[in-house]
Amino acid sequence: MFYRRKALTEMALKILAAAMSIFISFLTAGCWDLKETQDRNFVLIAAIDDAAIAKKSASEDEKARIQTFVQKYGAKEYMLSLQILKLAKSESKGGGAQAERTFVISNTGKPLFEMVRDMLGQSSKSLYFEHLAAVVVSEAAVKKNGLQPILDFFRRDPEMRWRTRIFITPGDALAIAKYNPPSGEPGGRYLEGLAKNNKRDIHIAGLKNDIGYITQAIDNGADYTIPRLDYTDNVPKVGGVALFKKDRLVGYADEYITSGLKFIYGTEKSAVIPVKCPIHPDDEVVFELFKHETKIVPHIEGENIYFTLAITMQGNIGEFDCKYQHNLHDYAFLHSVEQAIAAEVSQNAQETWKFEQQLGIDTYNVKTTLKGYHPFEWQKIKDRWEEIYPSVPLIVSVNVTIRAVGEHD
Amino acid sequence: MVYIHVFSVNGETIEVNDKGAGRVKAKNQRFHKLSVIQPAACLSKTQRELTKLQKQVQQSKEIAALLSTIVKDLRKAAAPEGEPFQFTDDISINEQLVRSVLLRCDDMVYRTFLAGNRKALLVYASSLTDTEKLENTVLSCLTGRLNSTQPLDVNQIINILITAANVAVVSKASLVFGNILKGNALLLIDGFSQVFLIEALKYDKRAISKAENEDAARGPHDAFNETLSDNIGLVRHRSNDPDLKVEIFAIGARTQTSVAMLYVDDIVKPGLVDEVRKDLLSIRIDKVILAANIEEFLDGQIWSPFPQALSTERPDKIIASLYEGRIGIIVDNSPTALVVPATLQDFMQAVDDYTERPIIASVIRLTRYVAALFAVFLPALYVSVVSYHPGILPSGLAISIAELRAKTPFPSLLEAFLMEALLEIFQEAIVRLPQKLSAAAGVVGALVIGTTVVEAALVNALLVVVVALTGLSSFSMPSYTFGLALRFFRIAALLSAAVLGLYGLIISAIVMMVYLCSLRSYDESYLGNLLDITLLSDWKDGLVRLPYKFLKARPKRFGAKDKKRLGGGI
Repeated sequence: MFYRRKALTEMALKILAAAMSIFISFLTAGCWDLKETQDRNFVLIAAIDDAAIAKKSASEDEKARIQTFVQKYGAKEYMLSLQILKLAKSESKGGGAQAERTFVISNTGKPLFEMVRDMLGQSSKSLYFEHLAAVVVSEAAVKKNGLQPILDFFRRDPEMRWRTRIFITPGDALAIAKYNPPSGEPGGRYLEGLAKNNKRDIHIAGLKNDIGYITQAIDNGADYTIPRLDYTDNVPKVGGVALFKKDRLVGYADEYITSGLKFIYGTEKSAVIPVKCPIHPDDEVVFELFKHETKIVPHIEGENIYFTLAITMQGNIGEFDCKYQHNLHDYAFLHSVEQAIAAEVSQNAQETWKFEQQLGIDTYNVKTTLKGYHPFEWQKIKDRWEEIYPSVPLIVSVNVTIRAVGEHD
Repeated sequence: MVYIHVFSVNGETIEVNDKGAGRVKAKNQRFHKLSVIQPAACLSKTQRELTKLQKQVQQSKEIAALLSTIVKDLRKAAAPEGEPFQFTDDISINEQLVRSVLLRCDDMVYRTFLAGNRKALLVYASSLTDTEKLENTVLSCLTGRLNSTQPLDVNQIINILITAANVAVVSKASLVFGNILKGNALLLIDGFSQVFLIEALKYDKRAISKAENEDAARGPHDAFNETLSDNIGLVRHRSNDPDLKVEIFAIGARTQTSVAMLYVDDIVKPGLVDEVRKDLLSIRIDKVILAANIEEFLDGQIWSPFPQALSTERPDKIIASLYEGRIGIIVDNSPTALVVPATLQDFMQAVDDYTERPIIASVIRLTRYVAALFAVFLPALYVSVVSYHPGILPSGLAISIAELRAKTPFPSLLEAFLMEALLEIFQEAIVRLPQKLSAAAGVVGALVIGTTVVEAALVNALLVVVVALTGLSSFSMPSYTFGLALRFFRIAALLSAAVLGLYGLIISAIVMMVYLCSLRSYDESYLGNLLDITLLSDWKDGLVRLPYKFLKARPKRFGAKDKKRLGGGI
């Protein structure tokens, strides 16, 4: 009996020791980063401006004097404004004006990370970036030091997500951060939604324009585009792109060039292409694209380098605005429409190609394609590529098929 | 006249007699203790006397116990080893001996009569014995028929005179009392040292009725009742197979409850019957009242929250299990039978899986497995996502959860615990209440949990959805016991997730999986068999249920001797 009791005590001690070691390791090694969802301030838009805009008016200047900190290093170069979600939803029952869903806090300085931490002096809860919907960078800010120093924080911090949308605005980014959409959505989610419409709106730069793809382009030394966002007086509009050569903003492309870019990429799911009616040039036929394949192939014949671009498109007649009656079931007529569309697309692609050549940028990264197809020739010409590129021709062949003429004819 | 001392006022002691009249005993005499003048009032003295008395009472009890054992020993006189006594030729001595064993059993009836000119005595328990049967098969046959001229032949009595269907002639007294207390009658006839046991069982029992807890939509509706013979009959009725064996043991040192072990001899896994029989016979227990009393002795791990024997009140489930090579155990007085070995997938099957179309049954069964995962991990997932990783949610959902949570003051773990506690209390209340009242409790619970708690901003609406879904998931388990085990693990997973987030959730899932794989019911891994690639043919009736056409083999996991089902199909 005595021995059994002794054994029991030893057992109990062992269990106690095991329990203690588990408990202590929980306390010391557990990731105690518990923070309730409601105890985080959801940052939805990060807007980066040139710090100079803070000094536009006297009151703004006064505000800016508070919203900053004493810096030992760096200069007051940027103004970072964060759009933060208001969590306590104001319950407006029965109509009335839509309450604002977000508020904005700003800070000036450099680098961004230090500014973000200093902003905790303005925010009751920790700033939480995992649901950051959009980064808006003003043209003035980009022109200061290029995009790299601005983007680095959004690429390096583990809280950031690669699918965050990014926009370049010619105006003030701060104003966009303060935007409250009439739909009642938070502003950041609204901008994200605009960017997601690239699949159907050929004027909105496509798919490959979030932080992840731009990071890849920067890392590969490629040129890239970022969607342009204009904003005046509570009206936001996404259309066209800002063109970047390496880190430098070289200019904007309008909607026409943007659609040309997308024809060459073949990234959109759906596009609307208006062309002139083959018989009555004053009126329009609208082609609704729904299937699109492209292939760009480099060729080298002796000293001549050229690219061929084969585009295959299928779609419907989306709208037929001609005043005169046409038989759309007449294959000959339809074929002429198809040819008109092909000519239009071809011309758009050609003009875009030339536009890029003039600016000396290569957003398609055709040099990599060339290197892939002709590695040995590339070794010979790679040092002269900058000279060769502006005069390389693109031969476009477009094949359009109209699959249907619409619901009613 | 007795005077009772009361108290002293102004130095005068007042004594009051039992009629209320008082007198002054002494003037100006001050004292402090009543016992000074009244020795009987001394507390310590009284205490001593009391202790002495208590000691004496204790001693007399011990003496009484000693005496009773002596009496018992004296009564045992002249009996062989293990027997209370030995029957003699003299009926009056026999009666004395029987009466001495059945002392203070007032439900015993001693009916003396004359069988011819011999004295005879019928002893039976009034509550358990069919007196009408006794009248017809014993009393009317014997009374007056036997006379002294006839030879004293036991065989003649049972072969010619007694018309009862089941008669036994015994001489061992130890066999007699168990039989009397089962409901058989004991017949003593003067001049015989052998006695007769006549079967005349009768007692009130519940009729065979619908399964209370496991009713099936399309399956048979008859279910076990509390009578062993009826229950064995229900099983036998379903199969006319002579290989279906029934072994009956008496378990429980005092209750001697009949426990039947059923198996199909040429199918059951070799060695399993011996193992279960050994386990049953080695049960050392005073009384067997419930099937669960037996079940716990068959468990491999007594501390496991998971049931390791399938308990069912459906005879069709038993017969199906027997033909899978398993062993059924039916305990007298208990409407639930047990099946061993039992693994996790057995607890996830319902009779309806076999009555519905295979494709529907498969979807339902898969749903059940998903529900089991919900029942364990959903609140843990909620807490880990809300407290640690709101980043993995789509932005829209994260924002709406944050907005919901902003109104409630508690951290998510506390909130979840609050809801869990509410749910558990609510469940317990519903289970314990009589059926009529439980509907009312349902209304109160639904109101409290569903609306008021949310409106009072104690918990958020999403958590109510989570907890309600978890509760429903655990109710959807075909086995209530299994559902309870899931509830147990839910709390562990919740705590783990609250400490370590998703990391903790995964750790708890791994720990649970390892535990379930290592848990064994008669050597069959509890969870390990479910997706064991070497048991591929069992998959046909595992997560899904294929048409009977394809279920030609018995489940491999139970190691049946005869692997093919005769004629294919079930």
